[in-house]
Amino acid sequence: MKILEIDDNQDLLDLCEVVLSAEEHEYTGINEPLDGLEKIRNEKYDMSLLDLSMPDLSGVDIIDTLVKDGLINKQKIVVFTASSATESEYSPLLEKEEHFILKKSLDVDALVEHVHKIESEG
Amino acid sequence: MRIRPKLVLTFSAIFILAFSSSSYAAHITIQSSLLDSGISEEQSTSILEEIGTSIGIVSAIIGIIAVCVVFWVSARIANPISTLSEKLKSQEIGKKLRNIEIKRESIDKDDEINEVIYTINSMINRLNDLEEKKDVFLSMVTHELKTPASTIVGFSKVLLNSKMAGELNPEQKKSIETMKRNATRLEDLIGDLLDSRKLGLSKMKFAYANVDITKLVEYILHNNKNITDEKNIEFVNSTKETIFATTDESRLEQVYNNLIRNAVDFVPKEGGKIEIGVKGDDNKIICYVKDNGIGISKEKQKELFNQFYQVDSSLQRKHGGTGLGLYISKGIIEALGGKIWVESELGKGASIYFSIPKIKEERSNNENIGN
Repeated sequence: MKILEIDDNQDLLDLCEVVLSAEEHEYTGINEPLDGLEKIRNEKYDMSLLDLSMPDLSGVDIIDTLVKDGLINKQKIVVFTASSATESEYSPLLEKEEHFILKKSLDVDALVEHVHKIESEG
Repeated sequence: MRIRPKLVLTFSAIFILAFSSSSYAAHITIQSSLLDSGISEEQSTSILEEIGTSIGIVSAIIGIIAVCVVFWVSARIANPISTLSEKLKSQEIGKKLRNIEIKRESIDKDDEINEVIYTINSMINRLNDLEEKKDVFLSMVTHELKTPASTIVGFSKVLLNSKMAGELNPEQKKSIETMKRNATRLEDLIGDLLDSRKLGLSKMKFAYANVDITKLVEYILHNNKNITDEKNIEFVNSTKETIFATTDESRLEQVYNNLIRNAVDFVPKEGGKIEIGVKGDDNKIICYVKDNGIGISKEKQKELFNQFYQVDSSLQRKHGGTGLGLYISKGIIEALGGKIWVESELGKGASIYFSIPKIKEERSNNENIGN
């Protein structure tokens, strides 16, 4: 699968790159949310992984933009919610729950499992 | 200080009554002195009757004064204090504190009760501010701690996966496993602190679904096997039936894991045994984790589910942890509409049971947040 990840933490991007590349996915990691949004707009990905809490542009902002652009249904979105996320940050995501999966924190095994699940669902 | 008409009227009435009462008292004294001055029997009977009447009037006046004082004290001090106390007691634990409002005729700033209310409200506002700052700080700290811990656990898993990082020699493997175990422990502790905070604030969210509990227990057995195998503990599942319940699968798993990890700490080094399982009736399921460990005394059982409680809190204690696992388990089970309890005797192992309804109770929270 062609996967894009947007996260301001480069270490986590490196980790996901190792894990998902080993699973033979085509992986791109971007640590600048604005650049990441441009990538999603201009290229087609099978799945995007978004960190919820990011400076400048949060995961919620990215999803909102994709909804406005009509791009949300073209790919699966997996959102990593950091433990610091508040209810007011969650609620807009919950309203669009059919579009993505929420995760409380990054877990390599769970990530691989989710990617497999999304891949098998087509 | 401003003069309040009501106060002046009340005190004037009391003063008039007290003055009348003292006049009658003086009258009684004069009449009594006449009794000693050699008067006839008829006169003395009349004086005694007069004294009796005066005593009656004085008693009545004193009674009226007492009623007035009680009424005044009650209206002015006791009632507002009692209302204030009720309003303070009705504040929900874990929720933002509300300012106290009591409808009173007097709105003077100088009124002592109003001053007390104003002071309490100022303190409530300060407490709310501090609570908010504490929440923000805790969120920030736990987030800052959790991300590096998750990264260490993640990379340890990568290094231990030969497909991703190639083969390791035994020494390297052992070192990375130690790193992973400790970072995972750190992750769990941070998670426990967060959960404990959420429970305290009633902010824990639950994702309900129809769960095959029998299958879940089997999965939990499989998932914890590595921990029990490391210590040569006999780990069995004694479930005999297929049970479904509408509940939060991951939270239920969290409770089982907490109980199993506790049991692992307390079983003997040789011949340790842990039994898990579930049974059900029409309305509820009863889950259990039993061990053949050192057991828990009746006294300690009472405190077992308290926050930060350690069965052994001595410096020489053999068992680690923050004392949050059982507290969190109790909080989760109660939020799911169930209860948790322990059956144990010293030296005879411990069995922890928890029951939850088969169908979700309306009072529980339900927000569909995934794992």
